[in-house]
Amino acid sequence: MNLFKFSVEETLFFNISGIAVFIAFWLYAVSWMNTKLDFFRKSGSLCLFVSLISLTVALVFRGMALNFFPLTNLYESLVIFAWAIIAAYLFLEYRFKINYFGWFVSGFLLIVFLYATWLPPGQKQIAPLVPALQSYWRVIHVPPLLMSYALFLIGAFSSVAYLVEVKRSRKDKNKSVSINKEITSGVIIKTSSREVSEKAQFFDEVTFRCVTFGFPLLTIGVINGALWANHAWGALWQWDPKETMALVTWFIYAIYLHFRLNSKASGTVLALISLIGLAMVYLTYLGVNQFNFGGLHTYGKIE
Amino acid sequence: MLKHLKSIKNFFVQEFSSLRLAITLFVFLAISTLIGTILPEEPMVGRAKLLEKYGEQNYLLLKGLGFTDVFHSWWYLALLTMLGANLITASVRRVFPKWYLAFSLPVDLRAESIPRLPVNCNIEVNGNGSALLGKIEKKLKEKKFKTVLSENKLKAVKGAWHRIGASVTHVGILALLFGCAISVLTGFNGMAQLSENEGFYLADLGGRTDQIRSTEVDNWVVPISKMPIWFGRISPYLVRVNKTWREEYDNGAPKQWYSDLSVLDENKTEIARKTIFVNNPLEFMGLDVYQSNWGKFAETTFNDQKISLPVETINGKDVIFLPLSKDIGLKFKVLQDLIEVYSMSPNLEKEKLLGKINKGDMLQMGPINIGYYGTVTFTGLQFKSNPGYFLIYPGLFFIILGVFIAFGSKKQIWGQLIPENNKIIIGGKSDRAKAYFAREFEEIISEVVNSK
Ligand code: HEM
Repeated sequence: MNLFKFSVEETLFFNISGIAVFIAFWLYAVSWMNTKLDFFRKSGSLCLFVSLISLTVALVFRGMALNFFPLTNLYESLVIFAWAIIAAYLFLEYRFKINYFGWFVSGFLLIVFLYATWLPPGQKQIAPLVPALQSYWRVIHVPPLLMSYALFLIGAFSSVAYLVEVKRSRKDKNKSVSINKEITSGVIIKTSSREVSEKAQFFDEVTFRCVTFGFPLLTIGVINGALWANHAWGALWQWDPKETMALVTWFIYAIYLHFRLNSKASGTVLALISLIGLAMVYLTYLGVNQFNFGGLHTYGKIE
Repeated sequence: MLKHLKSIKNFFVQEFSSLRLAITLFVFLAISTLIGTILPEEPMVGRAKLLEKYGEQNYLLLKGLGFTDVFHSWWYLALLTMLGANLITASVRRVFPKWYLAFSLPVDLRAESIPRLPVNCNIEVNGNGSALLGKIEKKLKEKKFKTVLSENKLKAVKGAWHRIGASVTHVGILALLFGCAISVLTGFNGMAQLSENEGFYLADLGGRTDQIRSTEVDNWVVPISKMPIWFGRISPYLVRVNKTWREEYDNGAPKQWYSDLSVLDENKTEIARKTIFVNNPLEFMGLDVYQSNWGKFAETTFNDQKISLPVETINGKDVIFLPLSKDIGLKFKVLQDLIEVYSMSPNLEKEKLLGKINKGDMLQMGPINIGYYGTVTFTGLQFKSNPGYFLIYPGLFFIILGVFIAFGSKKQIWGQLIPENNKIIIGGKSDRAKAYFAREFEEIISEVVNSK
């Protein structure tokens, strides 16, 4: 088969993106050790932003070479996953000030970048699409899923932080806390929470936020997948391992959401559910092919 | 006795409307779905593979327990049925009744209750208390809260409509479960391999699974597969392939497969016609026909035995590989009206031409006699009838709509001016994002207090 080469531009912007993440990692690490160094954190976020932009540009170049949305093999899927992680993190940082996780997130991103680069050439080449993949459904099936995976990932980081925080403040037995904050003289805002500390409450809520953003995306992705399968294979649902694994993931996050409706639900259990959820995400995304569960979704298989 | 029955009924309604049962079922479903994913399933890999993997005895044991086909086992079906029952009872008893909450104002709270809200504060008033309360109301209105202020009591609510999200999702899931049940119990599916001018009519052939291929309309038959318990009806349509072809990339890889199909009624008159391709099926009166694969075959004989060999396209040339042992084999180049036979082996730099066979001729090669009768193309069609669709599609739509609606939080705020102490007590709560609401509350109060 004659395959297109990587364009120079694509390689260039992909590398810029990787280097920016690398720099962000160290900046975040420094600001993590000393929280007063807010300047470092801000520079880290700026680097991640640069990385996001150049990754977008790299994807545009690849899309142009392919004449289609670049989502045809594991390499492209990983690059878009990295894109989703950066976008999700920057959005959450901007909206909910989740500054603690920059270090973990950029560290994890480095792993994704290295894994994508390490993939054998067969997985990276731009190859013509087989008939079943030539559909606009592909574009509305996979990106919501990758975005939801990115959100569940960040949610799981927050769950880990929550568990650490709870463990650390186990010493003071008093379960719930109330915080008094004076905003001007005489006006004191009292907040009470059943978590062990304000920080724990915050981590718990970040996970919750990620799940509430991620769950609809997961739902859309799975349902679009079913609709696509219906179009391409003539069946909505074939109990294919990738499908069933996504269903497991969906059940786990449905457990999370319903369990949380109970006002006495334990934060520790919720954090653990979110971690189990992430393990299921891993199995859905990569595990199905890595562990050879078989099935039809073999585009991500490493030969 | 009657009382007894009633208490049993109450017990069931209680249990089946509980969130605890829902979570338990989710856990069981997650675990069994995971098991079904990890273990090879018989419909996917076939019986022979499982026998080889487990051995006869273990296979029978696992089959008896449903582990060779988890998703069609009685206990998986039972879990799904329980989930459905749970969902119906819970929705009727606990979820739908909350609809009015979406459109109503907060309930009245007494002054003592306000300091017990998760976020609250006291504001000293040095001036006109009512005016300050009015100012808070104005601020809340600016932040898109719905407010009422009367007799020095303020109530405000925002985002209550998110409460109907759960109902919408739950209705969607119910519709989906019912739709799937209808499809499974009354639908059917199957597949056919056809070349041009052939076709099929649908038939329930019991255990038989082989298709009869013919250009004679009266001989067309293709078996369907359906569930063991089935109440459906098979539509009397005939489907004919008028033409089928493929499009290629420059390197010969398949780009798209097409089939021009006609649907005929019992009197063989055409009632619909469409060219289908992958991802673009024919949908006609409850019967959907899909392009699923495509192939070109050479009709050959080996010592007078008829064999159809699949033709591959490599670098734009049509070839057939026929391995005879591990490293020796034959390669046929398929040309217009003849095939060329080459021998292949790793020791040979170049393939060696052994002979040519014209269409309709034979070639004797040692003990083997090879005949060639031209090529045919087959189009692989899948078809199905899926009567539950009128519920499945809306169901999927409602699930998505519902999870989006349920996304936000309902936030409520209560405030009251206490003239005796000259202070305002105000507090609030949110049903989902609590820490975020605390910040929002703080922001609102700061803005009002600092602007005074
Ligand atoms: C067996 C079944 C189920 C039962 C008994 C059940 C029960 C409930 C109940 C009582 C609520 C609270 C409603 C409210 O406060 O307004 C709820 C909320 C919800 N349910 Fe279910 N449910 C079931 C299945 C599902 C499934 C399969 C999904 C999958 C998407 C789902 C998605 C939701 C969502 C998104 C909410 C809103 C959650 C929130 O407000 O945080 N439910 N469910």
